[in-house]
Amino acid sequence: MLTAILGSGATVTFGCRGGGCGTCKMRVISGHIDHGRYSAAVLPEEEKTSGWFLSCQARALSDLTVELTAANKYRVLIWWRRLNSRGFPQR
Amino acid sequence: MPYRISRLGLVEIRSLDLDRDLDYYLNVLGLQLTAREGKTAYMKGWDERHAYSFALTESDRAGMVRMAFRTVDSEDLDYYEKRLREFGIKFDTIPEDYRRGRALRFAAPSGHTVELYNEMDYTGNMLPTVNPAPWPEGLRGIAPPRLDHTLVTAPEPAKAIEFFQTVLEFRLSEMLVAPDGTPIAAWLWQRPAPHDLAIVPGKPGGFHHAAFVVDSADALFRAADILAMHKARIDYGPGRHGITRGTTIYFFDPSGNRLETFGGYTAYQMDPDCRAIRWTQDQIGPAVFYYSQELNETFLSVYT
Repeated sequence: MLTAILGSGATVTFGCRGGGCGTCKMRVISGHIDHGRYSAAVLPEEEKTSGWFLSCQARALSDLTVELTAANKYRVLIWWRRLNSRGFPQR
Repeated sequence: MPYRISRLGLVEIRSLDLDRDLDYYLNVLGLQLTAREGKTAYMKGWDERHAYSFALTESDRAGMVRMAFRTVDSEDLDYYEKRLREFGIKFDTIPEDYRRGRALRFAAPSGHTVELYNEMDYTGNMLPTVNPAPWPEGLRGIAPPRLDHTLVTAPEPAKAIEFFQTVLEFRLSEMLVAPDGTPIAAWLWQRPAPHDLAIVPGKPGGFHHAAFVVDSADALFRAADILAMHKARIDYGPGRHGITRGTTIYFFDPSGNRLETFGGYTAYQMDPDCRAIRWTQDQIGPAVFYYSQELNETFLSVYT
């Protein structure tokens, strides 16, 4: 999930990318995921059952709508927008 | 005051997948495997003379299991046992552990399990003791010679710092202070090096990193090359810390635990007379990352 977000030219908050620190936590609104391997210390069972997952470890099994934590921010990188709209990064 | 702790003797951390992570520790970081016993793998750097200094245990979570300090003599262990009693610190006596003798185990106010021990099997390093070469051939990965220090988090750092200073007689090499003078973070030493243990603010029992010695500029860049070749996630560096002057690469193991290469060639040596260096809170940027002069987003928020 995180790789797909970063690969789309957007950025979100993330940390260790190993499922250990919990920084990249998100919540499924609709759709299905495989949680992958993650630390139960940062994603306890009750959070998991209410839809939370670690985006650096989870894989999408369908189209997804997700919610970010209050501390997180989805930003599309400006250079990526320019690259896609004009074919070459402009100043 | 004589120093009674010879080194940070052991860091044990948790792995979400021991097979996967052991491959990383042996072939990318390049530690030497002593043994794998059930869910735990015991390892060390090639120049370490006791049986192991780093243990990795499979678990449902990442983070630290324990840190253990080796005393200089067995009498020093008795000394600390008396001292823990005097201060009313509850401790357990662990009669033996894997290839190790008696240990005292207690909880520090930071929420970490801390052990003191003296005896561990003396296995020698990877070199002969008669007419040795300067380094062994056939090493893999970064292959650091030894474990250097660990940095952990504490909800009330001032309390934890005071505990290690007062009860265990660690000395302060450097500290980061709030405008009112209270320590926010501290670097603590027993052997004559900038630190054996450091404490920064964060959750109880948190593991920020364990550091292994990489002690030349060539070795530092070679280490970064190896991490990148293996697509390891580098958190910061190669760079330099203002505090300790050490060179650094912060990187993560596959379970998300942070590790560090720490450069002994620029970090200074301590003397019992050395007085603590103070860094003011407004200079936390260069204190931690000297070149970028700013904290990154992960330093105080990403740990296990």
